Amino acid sequence: MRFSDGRPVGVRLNGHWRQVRRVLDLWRETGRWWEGEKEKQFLRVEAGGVHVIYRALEQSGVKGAAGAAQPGPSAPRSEHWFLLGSED
Amino acid sequence: MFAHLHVHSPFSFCDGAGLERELVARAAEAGLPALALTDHDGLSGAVRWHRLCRAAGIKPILGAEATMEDGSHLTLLARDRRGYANLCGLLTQAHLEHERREPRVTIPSLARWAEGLICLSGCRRGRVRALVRRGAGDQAEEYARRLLGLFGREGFFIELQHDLYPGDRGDLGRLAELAEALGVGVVATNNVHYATRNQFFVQDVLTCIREHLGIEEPHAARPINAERWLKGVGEMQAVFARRPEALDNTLRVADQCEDYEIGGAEYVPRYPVPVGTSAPELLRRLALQGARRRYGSVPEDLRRRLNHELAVIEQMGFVDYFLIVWDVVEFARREGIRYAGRGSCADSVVAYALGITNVDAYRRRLRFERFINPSRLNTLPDIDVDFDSRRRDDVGEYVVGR
Repeated sequence: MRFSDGRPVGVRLNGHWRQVRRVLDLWRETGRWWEGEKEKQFLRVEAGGVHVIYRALEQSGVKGAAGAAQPGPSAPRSEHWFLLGSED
Repeated sequence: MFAHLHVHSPFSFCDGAGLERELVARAAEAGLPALALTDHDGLSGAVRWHRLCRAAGIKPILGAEATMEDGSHLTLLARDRRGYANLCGLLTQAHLEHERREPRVTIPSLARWAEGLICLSGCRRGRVRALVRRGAGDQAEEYARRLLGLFGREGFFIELQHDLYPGDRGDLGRLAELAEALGVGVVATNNVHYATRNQFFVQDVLTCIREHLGIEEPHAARPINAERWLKGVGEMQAVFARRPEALDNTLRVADQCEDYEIGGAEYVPRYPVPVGTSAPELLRRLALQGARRRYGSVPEDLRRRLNHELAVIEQMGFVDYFLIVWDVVEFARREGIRYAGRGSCADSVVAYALGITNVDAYRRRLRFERFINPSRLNTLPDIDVDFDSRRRDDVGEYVVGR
């Protein structure tokens, strides 16, 4: 992923960079917290098709202190993002 | 700045996961000027909320999340004391006219009790939002116009709740368009269920208990993330960066709400005393008659004890409360319904003389101050009376009838 001013601008899929035209949706899921699974952040983006990508957040959603993990488009970006799926 | 207008406490049973004091403390820490309480279909936490907010220097806003006939939710806030009284009336009607634990508010009842209330269109379970999500924009607008007609332009707002669920972004865009079409404001809420993120799992476990689920069982009612905490201004600004007016409008709503008084002994119903007498006179007469019946005569030290208790009861404003309880136990006695007053009220000779308890506090030299202590101002005494469970409904019906 590439970001500019906290907004995703590029996503590399199958080795090719694609420009992110729009962020259609974003959400978070804590998953199976009782098994220690980390919270995930999801983005649904329009980038030469519609793709849902996600990453595990460093801090588990249920163990962080108040305000520890900032939500929204300005969330800390880094690490590895994964493709969950692409829409036709 | 910003104010949370949609907050659940543990009085949203098996749902609200943050204690009231934790929620208020967190709001104070975040520097919020006002804080609403919107438990499901009830105002049980209102008095405590009011006190806690006042003590923390936060304006309390009292409200509820009402369940409508179709099961959808609607957020209601009391603008003033009249609104608070109307909200009590509305919710009482919702409980009385529907199945136990299934209170329902109807549009006609909303119309009856709308004065003094501010209405937010509701969470993701609100009808407006659900219709918008289903693509039924026309129906959503029609329903919203009905609410607008009931509450007026300053009393109706489209609620934008962005707790980072899938689809929130699209929903909020369509809701904002609807608000513009209606010419009403939008307000940002976070459907707060706990004070800090790390309390999320408590809400999830409570939901599992409510829905009879094992922790590993998926269910639509279970929260999918830990976002319903009492966020501060910065966190809310991050989520509502595209719609700052929704944050500003929370203050517009908070400003409309007055900081009025609730609770205390003044809300005890007045006992209907016979013409020509007063409630304190009646209580005194009943207590002396009862003492003569219990003891045969009233020696000086017993009279002093009765006078002391009666003076404290009158000074604290609890005379009507005693008369009401006396009236209820008299009904039980007349009807042959077994009952027993228990707990700290057994420390009162007046309660013994009135027949509320059968413990002789005078001969046992029990301390009245264990029951009512003048240093605890405005704390209504708790008179516990158990009735024979087979006839308890008869007592309830009598009380409602009175």
